[in-house]
Amino acid sequence: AADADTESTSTSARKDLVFKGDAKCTACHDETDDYPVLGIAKTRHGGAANAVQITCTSCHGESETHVKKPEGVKDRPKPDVVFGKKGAQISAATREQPCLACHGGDRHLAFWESGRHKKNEVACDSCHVIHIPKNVPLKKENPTISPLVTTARQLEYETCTACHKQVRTQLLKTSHHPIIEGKLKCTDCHNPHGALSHAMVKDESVNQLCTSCHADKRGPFIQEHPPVEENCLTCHNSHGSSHPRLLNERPPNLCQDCHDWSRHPGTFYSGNQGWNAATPNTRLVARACLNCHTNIHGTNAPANRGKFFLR
Amino acid sequence: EGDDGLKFEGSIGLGAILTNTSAGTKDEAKLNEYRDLRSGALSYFDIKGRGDNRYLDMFGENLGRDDQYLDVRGGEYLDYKYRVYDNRIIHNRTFNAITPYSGVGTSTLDATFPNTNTDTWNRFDFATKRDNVGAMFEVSKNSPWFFRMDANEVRDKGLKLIGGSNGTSPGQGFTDKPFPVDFTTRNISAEGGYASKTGQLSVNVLHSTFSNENELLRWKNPFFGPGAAGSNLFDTTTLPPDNETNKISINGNLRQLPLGSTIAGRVTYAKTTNNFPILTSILSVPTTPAGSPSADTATNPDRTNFDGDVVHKTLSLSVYSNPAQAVDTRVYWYEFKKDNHSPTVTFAPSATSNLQCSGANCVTEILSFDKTNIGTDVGYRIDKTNRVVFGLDYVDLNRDRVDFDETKDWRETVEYKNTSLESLTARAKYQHLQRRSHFLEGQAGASANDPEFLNRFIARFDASNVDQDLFKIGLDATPAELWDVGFEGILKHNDYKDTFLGRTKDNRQELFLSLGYGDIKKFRVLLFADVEYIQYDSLHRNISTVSNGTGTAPNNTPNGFCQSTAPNCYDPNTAANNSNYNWDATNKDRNYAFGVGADWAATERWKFSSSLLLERTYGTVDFAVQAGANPTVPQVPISNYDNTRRVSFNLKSTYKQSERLEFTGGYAYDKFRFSDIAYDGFQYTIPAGTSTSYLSGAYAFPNFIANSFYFVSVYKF
Repeated sequence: AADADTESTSTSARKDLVFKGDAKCTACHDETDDYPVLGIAKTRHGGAANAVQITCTSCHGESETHVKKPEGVKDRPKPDVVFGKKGAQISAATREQPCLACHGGDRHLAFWESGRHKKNEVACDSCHVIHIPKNVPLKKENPTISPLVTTARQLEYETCTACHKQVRTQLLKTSHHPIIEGKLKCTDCHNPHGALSHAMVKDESVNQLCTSCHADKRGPFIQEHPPVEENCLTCHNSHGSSHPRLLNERPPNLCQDCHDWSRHPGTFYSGNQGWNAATPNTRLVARACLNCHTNIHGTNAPANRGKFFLR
Repeated sequence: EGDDGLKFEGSIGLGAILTNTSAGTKDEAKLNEYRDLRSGALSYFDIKGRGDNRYLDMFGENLGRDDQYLDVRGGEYLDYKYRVYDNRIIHNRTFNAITPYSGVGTSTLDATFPNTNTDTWNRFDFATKRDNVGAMFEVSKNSPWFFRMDANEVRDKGLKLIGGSNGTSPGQGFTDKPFPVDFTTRNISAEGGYASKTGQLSVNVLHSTFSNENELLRWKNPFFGPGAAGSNLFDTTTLPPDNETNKISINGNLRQLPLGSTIAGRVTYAKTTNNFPILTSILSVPTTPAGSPSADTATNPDRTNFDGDVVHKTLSLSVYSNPAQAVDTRVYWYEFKKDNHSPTVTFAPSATSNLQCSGANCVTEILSFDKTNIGTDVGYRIDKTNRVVFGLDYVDLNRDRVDFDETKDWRETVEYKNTSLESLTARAKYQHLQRRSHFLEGQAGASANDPEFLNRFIARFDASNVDQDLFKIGLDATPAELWDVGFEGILKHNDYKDTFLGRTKDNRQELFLSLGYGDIKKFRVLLFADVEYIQYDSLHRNISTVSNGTGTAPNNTPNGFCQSTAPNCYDPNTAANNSNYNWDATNKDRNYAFGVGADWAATERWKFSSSLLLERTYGTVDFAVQAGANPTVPQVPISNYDNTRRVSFNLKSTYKQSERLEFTGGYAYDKFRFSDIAYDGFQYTIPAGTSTSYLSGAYAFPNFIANSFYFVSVYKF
């Protein structure tokens, strides 16, 4: 960067590069900075420079003491508002204000104050980058660690799992939604900008959310399975599981946690009843209970065939 | 410069991928579960157009492949925007599964049983392809008023697998059956409203239809044959029914109210309906006279058509306030009501039909429930760098269920955050949940000899009483320039304190560590290590011998009741014998993940990135039986419950030939190993005479080792 102490002469010599009035900053800050700033020209913010009257100070404040370092001060004071790690000690409310000054009325922020991100002091700059041109302006501060995916896109989950570490592990499990493959996004189910539903899910309930994609599970069915109708997450973990079909626990154990009766529901299926047995137990091998009780999400089969989800 | 005033720049990439799997890889479906890594061409384009007022972003990749993705976004700043997309999602479960049935891909599966010669079976891929094509348009004309329309069509095609017991009960084996997936879901929604910084109000209407080309699967039942009367008849499995959902939602907020308050609310009404004829007969075999042939047997429903009608209604309200500079509060109220207006159907099959439910008519169960949730969070900033949040949450859920009709949850939470060091953010959370439910089965069954009596002791974990404690701590530190350290620990314990039979406890212990160093623009390395331990404890009762109701001792009690020589068998407090006893299971899942990756911009021209991912999962079950019982089946622990090992290595290099031309080449190694008691030593049949089970090989051979090489040349403009 140019010598910051000569900004008065530099400023007059420099023209605005992206936004009206940005010479005040771009006299010193350019692509040679640790954090190159001029990439903003290629973002939608830069593209909209004429349509919306914004400039550097719209977000960073007038920052007079930063521009004109007071005499006797060893280190140049920071701008009034800084973002990212350098702004860690600046309250989220302060850091979100420059964004909300323009975007506060955006429809997708209708429930911002109601969401957990606001409650947990997650600010816009916790996830978004402003100066770097991207299809999706999200932070990516680390290398990608996943099996090979043939996508050129930056995947959204890498931003979310920087904080949601438990989800990072779940997404990598053998049974998962195709999120690390880039076919689904966290925001297909959650609204990080706030929601009135628990876990900031986009729909009014977990089941309504799940069946918006899995419409074959909507029914209505002649014979319902009560826990299925109440909450998909009773049996499934939507982020990932080491068990097939995103199940929280392995059948038959998962089923037996609720179902006990004479004969097979109350029988334990032992380690010597798999394919190593003379006659493998049909309630343990393959899909266990689901080998027979197959329409477990609900069925239209009649009489006892439906009552026990056999058809 | 385009005619529309847009200035375009972007990149176009063309290349190829070559994937080779090891000879030991029997099924490549797991490798390609959601990815299309088959050898072939790779392509992508990423084009951005920028004008003074307009923009246009066009992106596409994997063109012509099963996981193709296209996305076009554009608009005029502040005036309007639009999007058109096509997202293809594959879900490959098993390649080269086999079945004794002909007619795979249709809704009628025919076969002659028995047929244990798998050489004569037909091959099929247990796989589906989803194609989601849609568009969006939103206009606001730089005003607070906006209108938006979304429409998409999702087509699912392929084959899925459905099981089903042979004969008339799970005691007679089972058969895997491929059924055709030909689903179409169409959604169209419109939203309009007013949005400003001081308030918003919008109305959204959605119309969604789901249609399935095959609502019934007809199949030959191996139990009825060969040549037996009725063996020419088809059994029937029902498949997902068509349905239609219409929904209206009203969203709004009011901001800049006194005390820095914002009120936000939402009201929704959604109705899902369908209509289809009820099956009036199904293949069965009458119990008398002995040896009766199978036949299409009357189910005698009390109505001919099912009119599905489920309504979801919600009301949500949230008030956020800043009553003081250091205090922020949130109070919320959430009402949810599911009204299932679908009819309850009573089937009255004859006593000899083998279709009755516990010797009586079958009456269907449908669920309605309503939930009230109120709560508050109060955040207090002790000083600039210390903040504490207290939360209270209450849920009252009422449901139409035979075991629990009401559940009340009380949840208290306290969270603390400290940022006193510029280089360290620390968080801690404790949460206690107490759930109390109203149990309806306390007087079930006339006596301990009555099967219903057991219901007095079964408490299903999704609704039973529970005390939950959750501890969570997290640290994010930057101990030195370019260094990042992240740590998160979670302890969660559920004690289903009043449960006798069912899940009694579960525990989660999780540790997540990450360490990063460097500048992502130059050299950056990240390492993470995650450990997860989950344990489920449960108690059950085995009752293996009950009366068949013949009237002679020990079967001189009603069918299904305790034999006269082993009274009170349905009471878990009864002393154990070899037929009737309690047993417990301890199910443990251990999961480990380790990853390390690096991005390195070695020179102006050369960039490298590499990653290594190691994952392991272990599942085990230990059993123990009640003292006094010595069952014929020994309690052998299970040591391979979804045990998996995965190693994924990637190395990618990019060479920048010029400002216009760039070359990317890479290598990927992917290895997956699976061991599970349900599949190790898998066979396609389980011979048992007329009760022989016929399997397809689904999920049985997922192991793979794959080496992929790829090359993409990129032209930038």
